[in-house]
Amino acid sequence: MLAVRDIDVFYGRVQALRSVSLEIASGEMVALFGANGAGKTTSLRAISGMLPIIAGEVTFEGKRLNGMSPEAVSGLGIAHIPEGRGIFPHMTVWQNLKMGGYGKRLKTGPLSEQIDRVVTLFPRLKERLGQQAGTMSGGEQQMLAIGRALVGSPRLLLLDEPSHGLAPKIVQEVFALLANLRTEGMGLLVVEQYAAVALAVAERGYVLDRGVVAFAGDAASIASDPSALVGAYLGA
Amino acid sequence: MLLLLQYAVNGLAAGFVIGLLALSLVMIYRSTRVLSFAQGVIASLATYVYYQMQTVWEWPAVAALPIALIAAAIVGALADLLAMRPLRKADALTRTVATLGIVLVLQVVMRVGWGGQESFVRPLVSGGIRAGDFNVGAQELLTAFVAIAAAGLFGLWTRTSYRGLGLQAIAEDASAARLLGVDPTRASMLAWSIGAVLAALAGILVTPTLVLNPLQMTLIMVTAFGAALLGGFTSLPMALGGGVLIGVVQSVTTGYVNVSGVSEAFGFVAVFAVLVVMRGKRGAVVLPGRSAA
Amino acid sequence: MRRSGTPLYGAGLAVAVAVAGLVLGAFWLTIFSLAICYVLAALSMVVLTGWSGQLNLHVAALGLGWGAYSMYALTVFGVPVAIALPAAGIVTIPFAILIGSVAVRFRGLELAVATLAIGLIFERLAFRNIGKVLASRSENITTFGSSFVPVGRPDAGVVSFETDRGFFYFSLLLAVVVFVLVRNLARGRTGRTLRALREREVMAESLGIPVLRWRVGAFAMSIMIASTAGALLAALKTGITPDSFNIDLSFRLLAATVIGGIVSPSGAVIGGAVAALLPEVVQFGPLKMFSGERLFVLFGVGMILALWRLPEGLAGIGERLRVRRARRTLPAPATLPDAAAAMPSPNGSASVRRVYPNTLARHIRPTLLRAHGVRVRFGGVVALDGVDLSVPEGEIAALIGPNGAGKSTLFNCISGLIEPNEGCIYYRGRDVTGLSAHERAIEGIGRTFQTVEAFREMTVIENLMVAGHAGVPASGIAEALTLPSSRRAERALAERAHEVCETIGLSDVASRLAGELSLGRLRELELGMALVRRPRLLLLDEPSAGLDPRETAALGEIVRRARDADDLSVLLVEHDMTLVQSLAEHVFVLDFGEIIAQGSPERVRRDPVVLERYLGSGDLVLAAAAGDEPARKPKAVSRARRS
Repeated sequence: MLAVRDIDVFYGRVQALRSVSLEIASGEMVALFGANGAGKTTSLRAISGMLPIIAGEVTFEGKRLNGMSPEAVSGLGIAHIPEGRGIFPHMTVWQNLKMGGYGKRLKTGPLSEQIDRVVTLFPRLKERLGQQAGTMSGGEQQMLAIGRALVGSPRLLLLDEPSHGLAPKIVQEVFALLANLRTEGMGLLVVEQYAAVALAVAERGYVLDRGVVAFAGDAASIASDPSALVGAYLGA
Repeated sequence: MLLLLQYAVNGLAAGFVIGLLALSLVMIYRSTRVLSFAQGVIASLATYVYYQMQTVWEWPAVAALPIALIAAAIVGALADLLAMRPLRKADALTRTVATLGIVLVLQVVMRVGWGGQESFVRPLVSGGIRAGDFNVGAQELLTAFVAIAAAGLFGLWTRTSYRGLGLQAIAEDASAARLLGVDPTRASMLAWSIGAVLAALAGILVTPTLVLNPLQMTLIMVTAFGAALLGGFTSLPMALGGGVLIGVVQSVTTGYVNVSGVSEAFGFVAVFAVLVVMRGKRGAVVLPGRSAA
Repeated sequence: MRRSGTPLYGAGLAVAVAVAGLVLGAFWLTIFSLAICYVLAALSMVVLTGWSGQLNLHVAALGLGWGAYSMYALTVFGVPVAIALPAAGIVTIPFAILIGSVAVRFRGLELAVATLAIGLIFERLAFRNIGKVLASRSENITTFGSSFVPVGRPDAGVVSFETDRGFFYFSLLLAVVVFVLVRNLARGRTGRTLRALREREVMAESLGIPVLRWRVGAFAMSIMIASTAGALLAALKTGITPDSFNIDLSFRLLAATVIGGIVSPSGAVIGGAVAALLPEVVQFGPLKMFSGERLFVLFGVGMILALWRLPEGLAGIGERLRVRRARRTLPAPATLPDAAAAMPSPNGSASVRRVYPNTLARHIRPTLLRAHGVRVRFGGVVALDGVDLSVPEGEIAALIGPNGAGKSTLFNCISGLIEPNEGCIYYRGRDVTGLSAHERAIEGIGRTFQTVEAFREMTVIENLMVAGHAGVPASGIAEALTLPSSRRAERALAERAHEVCETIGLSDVASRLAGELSLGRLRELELGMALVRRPRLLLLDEPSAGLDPRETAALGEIVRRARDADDLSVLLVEHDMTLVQSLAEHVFVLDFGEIIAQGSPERVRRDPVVLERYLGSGDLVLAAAAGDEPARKPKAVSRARRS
């Protein structure tokens, strides 16, 4: 579904990613680990069009994403939930959800149906439709961000540190929900610093270290021998 | 006392005009972070177009007004296309300075088209209401009505329609909005068009009572900055309310203090005072680079 | 602002114009005099906007008008015009400082609007009424009650400047004097400081430069120059009307200056000349359609074009050609090595990392820095939740922790950019919690930033000199007049700069612009800047970010050498554990705003609490521990994470 091949990405004159390759098949959850500054967020931003790709190629369902603007990429069915969630704090929950359908030919029905579908998944949002998004707790905001992305029925979901600032119990809930999304054929790429919870759910994982893929494999093998992970975070 | 109230009521119309200009400023600032100094001249230009149709060609107001508003929307879109879009990668202050370039250009357009004369425009409605010892002109009432209706309609549109929500989304978190599919260049053009229409309304409504003069509109616009600042450049109702407040106080001041330039200056003092007050409310720390490690 | 051959061009231009003045007729003399006024007005904007990054939107009222009315006021009180005119600029200084002290607390757009508001208050209110009041005091009864104010021309007794030709030479002389003074300031400490302020204000503050004071100074200097221009203008027109200094004039002057180039004095010359001469030039030939008011279309379009394509204005064209001819090439982007590339061996470095034989050894040394109970809240989010740490003299310590742990916040508290809600920072036994960043810099705390905050638009040596400015008193007047005292001070700054340049290994690029350096060398420069004033405490914020292992090792070497030479203490925030392990003697681990572990790098690396925080669960920690050492029971930890 998504194929990233040997991409180089720069921040100004600093090379943030070097020959990074990864793949996601539909119905698969892939985790991306690494220390701060390793390039995890950069990878997501390169895929969603927020950063230019200097070398290499990104294709999504056969279509080349290089050089496309974030607006255009979003229209192809890729939803990127940035670190910090990117919800609109002064807009209500309902308005935020509506923005999930911006510019998209809503495939399975009108907007109200899509929103209904989403709030069924997130009962807590249902109670708060008229509430200003900025007044909700971190966990609720995360659910809103995911729900908003789901309104547009994306085929690929990019999540940047969904556990950021959340209580462990909520993190479990979020990941359980994400796991269920795979059954609808959605692909998920999850960037996480806290590896354990992601490894429990994902099929495969990549470990980034200073802009390079240091390790790629299935989740079970990373969990049983986390030396690559530990090396990336705390040194050899 | 009655005199005071009369002055206050007289100031309402000017206040609503200031409020409309403030609305147009907020509209553009929220979505683009640019403070458009050009709103005053856009208002003047639209008024000259309206004058051309209504007074010179003697078309009925019902026809002239919508056409003038459409012309304003086009001018706003053009201003965005020619001045703002090339500079989209520049910082907000640079783009704001560029709006001064629009001011210079449009001033010349008006000079070329109408010779810079001050001309008379017939009011949209005439007559008035007497309530006891009060006089309220019909034009003043119309102005108030239009301003409130415009604020209400645009406020509603911003909160419910896709495009309107898109503008607000860009204002709150531009990159998150882009990730959802909102195109910032189109949003900018939309904001400028709407801003131009609001400014045009302000110009057309105020002109019968105030002489048609591009310089005058620019000065009123600076006062509108103060009103917009009261709303923190984000709140539409507060911008409108702020405009009314400033208009009323200006009028009262003119009534009682007979020094030339005082009431005008009051508007500018208000701008400065609001800046100082707003400054005190916000924090201080300015940090370079990325946020927390 | 570039160092260019301007003195020669400037002198040549002045001479050429002076000679031309001998043959021109009255009409053109007036135009050229007008150009000189506009050039000075443009110069005031270059000094304010181009040098210190502040914007005055109504220079006609807030500047020109002040000068004109000040001069008139002086003449009313009996001062002859020949003295009143040059004095007008100086007389406005106290007022400029007053208004400036308030205005400069605003930034960017707000400052621009503030100047517009203040300017309009003066234009529409103050000037009209002051004019009347002053006129009523003068002996000239015919001007009583009108707002037209007549102004005489200078008459120095022996030489009269009343004729058009005489006045032209008077203006030229005055302008040349102003330009020379400004140029002297530009090339020295004042120019450097203002350019630093404009480019990176926070870094300047962290180098010990009192930013607000300098912004006021730049503001006052700009108003002074504009006032002089305004006084000249009034004398040229032999009168002031209320509309002499209206908003249109301000916008036009701003446009002309942007077109000419708002960043350099040569831009001011071009801009002012354009503003005065263009209306005449368009009378001829094909440009005739732009005559009269239509001319300003060119100004408007020209300004937008300049902002878009030519931010340095027409004056920048010369600079661009020069750069192209010099064919300077940027070094290739720093590339990252393969992950398997060899790490520098720990024993390969010249100096050796100190190791504490036991924890007591660390506590015996005198404490340099201590943070006690530091709490910081941003809105509802707790960034630091009671941080206690201490760093003894002469130690290299590291601060590590997961993303969002609060490391930068803690750094900013120590360096003075953030004030904690609770808690204290002690430095050399003194409570410095209330000191600002620049005050702490003067006390001896130096720092670097994640985004390398060296000044790209200055040379390496200039960067190092700016770093040395703080705490050394200097006189602007001595500088403007290039007195020996200021030249001595410059030499001392330059000597120290070259010394540090040598230490950090950048002597070969001392005269290159910092913006042309590779990231690794930029970081070394920033480190050098922090070292210039011989700090006791050095705070390094992610110094290795973006560097390859070779560059990281080189940087680490410089840090160690600096510490060994001066026995200063270093605290660094890092994610690169190779650097931490080779450099740090003591490591603090921060998570969720508090110190969860500390000790030697080896100890911390194997601490199960730390591992669990990074990896997120006990099971993974067990697996990691199993691969590492003989089984060590991790403490059973159940931790509630804050949301």
